[in-house]
Amino acid sequence: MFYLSLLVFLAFVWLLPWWVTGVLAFFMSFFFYEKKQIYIQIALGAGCAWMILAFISDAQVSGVVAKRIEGLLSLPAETMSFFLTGFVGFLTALLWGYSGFFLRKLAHLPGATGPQDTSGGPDV
Amino acid sequence: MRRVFYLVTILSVTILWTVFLAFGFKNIPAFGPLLDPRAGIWVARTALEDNKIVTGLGAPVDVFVDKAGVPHFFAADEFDLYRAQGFVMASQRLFQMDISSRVTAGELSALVGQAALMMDQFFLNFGMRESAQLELKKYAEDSITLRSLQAFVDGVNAYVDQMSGLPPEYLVLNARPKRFEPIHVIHMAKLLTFNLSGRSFDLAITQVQQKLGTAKTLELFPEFLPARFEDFILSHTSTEPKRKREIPDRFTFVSQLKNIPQLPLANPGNGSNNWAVAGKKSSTGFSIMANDTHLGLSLPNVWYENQLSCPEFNVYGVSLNTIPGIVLGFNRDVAWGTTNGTTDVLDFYEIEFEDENSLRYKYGDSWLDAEYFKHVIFVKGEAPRTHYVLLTRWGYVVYREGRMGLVADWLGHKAKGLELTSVRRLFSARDYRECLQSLASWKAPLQNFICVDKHNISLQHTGLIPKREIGIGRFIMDGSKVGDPLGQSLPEGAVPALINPTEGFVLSANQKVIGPALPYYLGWDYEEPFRAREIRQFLNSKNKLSPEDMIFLQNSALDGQARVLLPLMLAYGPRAQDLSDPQRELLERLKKWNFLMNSQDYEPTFFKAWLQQLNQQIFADEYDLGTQKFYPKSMRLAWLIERASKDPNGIDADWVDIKNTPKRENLSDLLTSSYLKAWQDLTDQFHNDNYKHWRWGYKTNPILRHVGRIPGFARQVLQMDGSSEGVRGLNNFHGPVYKIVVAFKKNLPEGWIQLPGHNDGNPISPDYDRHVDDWAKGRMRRVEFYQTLDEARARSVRTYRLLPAQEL
Repeated sequence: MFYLSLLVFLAFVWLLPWWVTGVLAFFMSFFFYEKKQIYIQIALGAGCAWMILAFISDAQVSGVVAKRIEGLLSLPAETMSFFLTGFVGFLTALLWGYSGFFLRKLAHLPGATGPQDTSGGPDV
Repeated sequence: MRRVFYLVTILSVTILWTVFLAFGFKNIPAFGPLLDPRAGIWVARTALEDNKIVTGLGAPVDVFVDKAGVPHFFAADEFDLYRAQGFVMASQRLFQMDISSRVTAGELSALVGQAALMMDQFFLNFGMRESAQLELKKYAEDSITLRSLQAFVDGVNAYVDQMSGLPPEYLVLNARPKRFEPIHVIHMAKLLTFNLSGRSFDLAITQVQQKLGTAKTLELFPEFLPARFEDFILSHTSTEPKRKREIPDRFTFVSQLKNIPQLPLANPGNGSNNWAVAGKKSSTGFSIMANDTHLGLSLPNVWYENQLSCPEFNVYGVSLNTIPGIVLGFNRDVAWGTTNGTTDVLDFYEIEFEDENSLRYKYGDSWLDAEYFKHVIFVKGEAPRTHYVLLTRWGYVVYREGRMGLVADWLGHKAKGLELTSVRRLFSARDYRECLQSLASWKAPLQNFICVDKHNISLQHTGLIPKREIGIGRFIMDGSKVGDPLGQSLPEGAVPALINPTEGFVLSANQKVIGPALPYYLGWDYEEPFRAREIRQFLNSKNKLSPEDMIFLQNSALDGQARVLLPLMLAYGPRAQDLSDPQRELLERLKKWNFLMNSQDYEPTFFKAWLQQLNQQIFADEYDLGTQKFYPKSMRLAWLIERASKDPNGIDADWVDIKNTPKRENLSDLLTSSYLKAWQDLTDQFHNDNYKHWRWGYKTNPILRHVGRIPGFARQVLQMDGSSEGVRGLNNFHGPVYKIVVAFKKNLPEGWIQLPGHNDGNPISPDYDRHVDDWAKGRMRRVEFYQTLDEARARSVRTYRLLPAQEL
């Protein structure tokens, strides 16, 4: 699932605005929710996609952007610019993915065979 | 139920996170759009593309980019040229153009928020919005210039309409660019006018006057010093009778304001150098001109280098961002350059209102109604604020204290010139006469224009020179007394142009324009003559001068202040017996120092620290303006040292004496104690008492701040030689932002140029800070001045064609 989500996010994030990450993660988790902790794999895919795309763009301008972001946000190193970008993509996908996953589980929609929650808290 | 609550919590956190990403929080940028790999900062390049459609173009415009990244525009029509220039400049400088044109309009807060509110209020109070509107209306007199402005902003808007992504600054600020109108060009022109002629020490000197009285204040801050401490641009030829330079009593009103404000007036460091050498003194046999403008160091640079070519003219030089055309540069026949005129064009009046909230103020025996203007200030992230601006017969009210008010009377509002018309006419000037004639409609800011052709050199103090009696405008003046505000000009020829002088050169470096023989008051606060004297000495020192000599002189790190003051400071102190061994060692090194402000040397650091302490110790007991380090000019200090040493009981020896001690201190006492204090200060600053570590480069490393002060987009230059008091004119935040040398030859002129930074002002462009290292090292680059389309095609490295809409 990680690789699939990576490919999906690479394509969609390159073509659509940043918030598409949340939308995609929500629906992917909603529909593929049977897999345990699916939203984490989806979020990892999203984070990596953001990081890879940032890296490609940065390489085209000889590493200038990472350097500017480092100065702009007072980061400890240039590479942190990529990690921060990846983290934003990851966290966005994680939160929306988990929301989709939990909503689907809560709704008990047809086809839903996921684990029953008895505690009221998360299953992870 | 608990699961529903849990879901609501998750969704709330998710939505909050998304909102935070989308809009940011206080000073934290909106990370979503900022770091978006598709449209965020990672891809916020704004490179020009070929075959772009620019609405309004009459015919295609070719843009050739040379290897230095300079665009050369070739158009079939002047207006197409400006349209294309606007389009390309916007593609490289959009954020700078946006922010620059907001400053005097009082619209910065709308873009950057609360931090700029005080600045907005100041410029609104100063009357800039009303003034800009009036100036735009004035251009109705010149329909061609007005069309040029419109064509330029149409080009800018054409770019804004079709750009694929936002420049990175907008992503950081989470904002959108505005659409441009001709008034924005005027606001940029107003900003330049303010920066160059909005300086004044009237408020500070009035504070000194409140403490010392008028006579003593004028003793410390005289209009003129003895001739050996001065340098004048022009010799005076007026036939009018000479007048005494004493200030009549009626102009020595003492302000009753309890807290005279510190206004954000123009930085007094804004100055420049220009000089020209006649053919008889040049190695080429033809005239050579040099110009370097010292302004705030920023990235991108305030100037934009380009060539404009159309059937009417072909001109090369630098444009001011947001303004069409080329302000400084040269064509095939003429070169021109400026320095700031620095003549006093800003006065202050104190007025009395009927009561704290009244609009009625006292004038003579009556009460007049102030005119008022209502404005709305939009502040990003906050509710809009209503702001009222008051206009009196003297000018705009910039400060109120109870019933009292302070009014600024600025010539920049009243000069009513057509400066952009002058600039346009310069493009097609064919000799120095036409160049000077082009400047007839230039009124503000007052500039020392040099106009040069192959065989002639000339210099003119250009603009509206206020006609003022001696004494008007030295201090805050009494606004209840009947009188005339600024606005009248000196009689024509009172300040003549200098044309082909016998010395074979002309020069200006913001020093005094003319000596005391002129029976009017022009100002006292000109730049000290250090740079001018160094330039004059250098130009006099050689029979023949080459372009290389000009470049050498522009890069001179010799400090004129040190050359004048250090020998005096060493002659009368400090006492060797009061110094430690290392302190004596440094003293010996100072005696051998060549006054060069080299970044690796420590003598410059110590000299400047010592001088500052000396000023502090001599004058702080007389008056103390707190954080304002407002001391007499260095040349006045040199005269003071000379006189105090000769006459221990004279008036200057009285200044040296520290009033709150029983002892009568002499020069040697103060030179010793200031030496020791400077030593201690530097030891503290460098955390090291070994003077060999006190390198000048650590004190004066220039910073090219981003124009929007966005951290991370600035560039620091380490270890650069020079100082404010040297020809190179450099300190941490100011420096030579444009240097050019133009040498006329038999056929075409040859030029050398350097600017810190690149035309591409996009912070994520690899070119953004290109040229900075060459600039820091003083290296110049040869100008590529194309004469024909074929030559441009052959020599440029990239070509773009901008197309009219019908080409679709």
